[in-house]
Amino acid sequence: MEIREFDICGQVCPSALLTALREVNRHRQALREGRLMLVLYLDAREATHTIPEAVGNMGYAVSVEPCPRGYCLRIGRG
Amino acid sequence: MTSAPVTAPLLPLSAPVLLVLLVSLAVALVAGFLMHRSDYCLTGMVRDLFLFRRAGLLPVLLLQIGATMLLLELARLGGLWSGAAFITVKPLLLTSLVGGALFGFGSVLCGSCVVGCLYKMATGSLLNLVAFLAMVAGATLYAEIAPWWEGFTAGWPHLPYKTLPELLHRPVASLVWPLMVLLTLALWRYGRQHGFHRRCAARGFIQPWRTALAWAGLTLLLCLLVGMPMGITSSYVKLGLSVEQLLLPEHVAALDYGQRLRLEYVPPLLNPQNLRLEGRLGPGWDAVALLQAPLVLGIVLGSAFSAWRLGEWRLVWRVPAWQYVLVLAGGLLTGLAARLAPGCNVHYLLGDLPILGLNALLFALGLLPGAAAGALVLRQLLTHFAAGDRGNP
Repeated sequence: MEIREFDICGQVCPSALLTALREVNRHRQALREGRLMLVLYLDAREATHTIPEAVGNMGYAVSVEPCPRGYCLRIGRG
Repeated sequence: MTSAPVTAPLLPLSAPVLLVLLVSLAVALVAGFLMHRSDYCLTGMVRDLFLFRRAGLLPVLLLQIGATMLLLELARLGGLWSGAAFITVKPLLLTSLVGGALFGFGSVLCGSCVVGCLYKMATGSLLNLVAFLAMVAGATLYAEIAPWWEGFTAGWPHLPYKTLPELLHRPVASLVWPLMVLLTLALWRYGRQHGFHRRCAARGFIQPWRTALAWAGLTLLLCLLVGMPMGITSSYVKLGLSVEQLLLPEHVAALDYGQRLRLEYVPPLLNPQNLRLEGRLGPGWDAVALLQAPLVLGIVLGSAFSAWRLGEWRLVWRVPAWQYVLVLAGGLLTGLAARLAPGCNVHYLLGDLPILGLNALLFALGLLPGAAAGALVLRQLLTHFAAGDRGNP
């Protein structure tokens, strides 16, 4: 499985959510087929709610876990 | 019987001055801590309505405004507060509408408002430090253009009334209670449909609705013990002019905007001598500094403490260069708008709106289209620039 990583730490709000939505839409075919996983590193605490909510509503699986850079979100096939 | 006011310098610290200092600092420490834990972004609350077409945390903001309204009304009924408009509330000016619109536009571009940048920069975000400095610069820039702006707006319509009850010649309770009933019904309906509880994986997360209610309590405390709610952008001008004074002392000394008497403040507690403190926007440790500097400092320290306790404090500066430009421009506009208004979202939305201040209502009216325009531009910019950003492998 291909993994694409994005580091959005410290960026202007709401870059995290917009980046997540843009990349999910850009790669929806590969995501739905399970060929791709998106990994986002971010430090915006609010995004640990908004991204799982928005992307989860689109039918994808999202996991969130703390990491040295802040939080690591993994988006993949639902 | 109260004695005639005694005008005095702030130093040495007297009991009422010390009380104001400590209460303001304590309130801001708690506010900063809560803001970080809840990621309580006032800009995001309004922006997301237009950017993502969802209510997001806007109902939480309304909850805070409603809760503050209720607490102040109960304090008034209990005889703890007179119900008179705070000394910082000004008669109706259309500049609040214009300032609100520019504030909404600038703060959305900036990604944070005058307090948002404080709690965010306190966690090590260099971008938000730039935002803060830009806001200070924008507020200070107003000192330079104030004579022109005041001349330009001198003929604009204005009214001598400060609050809606004054304007309508109605008792406060006859407006406040029906409004609170309507707000409660609206929030109850929202709560039933969507809920106020947010599932969030962030460490040490505090539900935003709890922060909203706690902040309402903090506002009441400030009003009772200090005599006014939170406001901070006057201190931004003071900070900016203090720095400018180091470089251009004669110019700053000649600025009428900085020298003019802005505030005659009588601390409400521990003040048997009826000590009166003067406040100006120019450099100096006076009533403006006393009332606002501890708030700025407290929010920064409270947020930094929260981030440190969670292990989330880290210096983050490597972000795309265009975002620094964006935040610089947005921050300048936000700081400038806060003086054009004159007042910021914290002052108007969280302090004056609960007492139905007319300028607060105008500011809120202006804020919405301003934020909508800001969201439109921000979306275009983020979409345009993001393709070239780092992050892709």
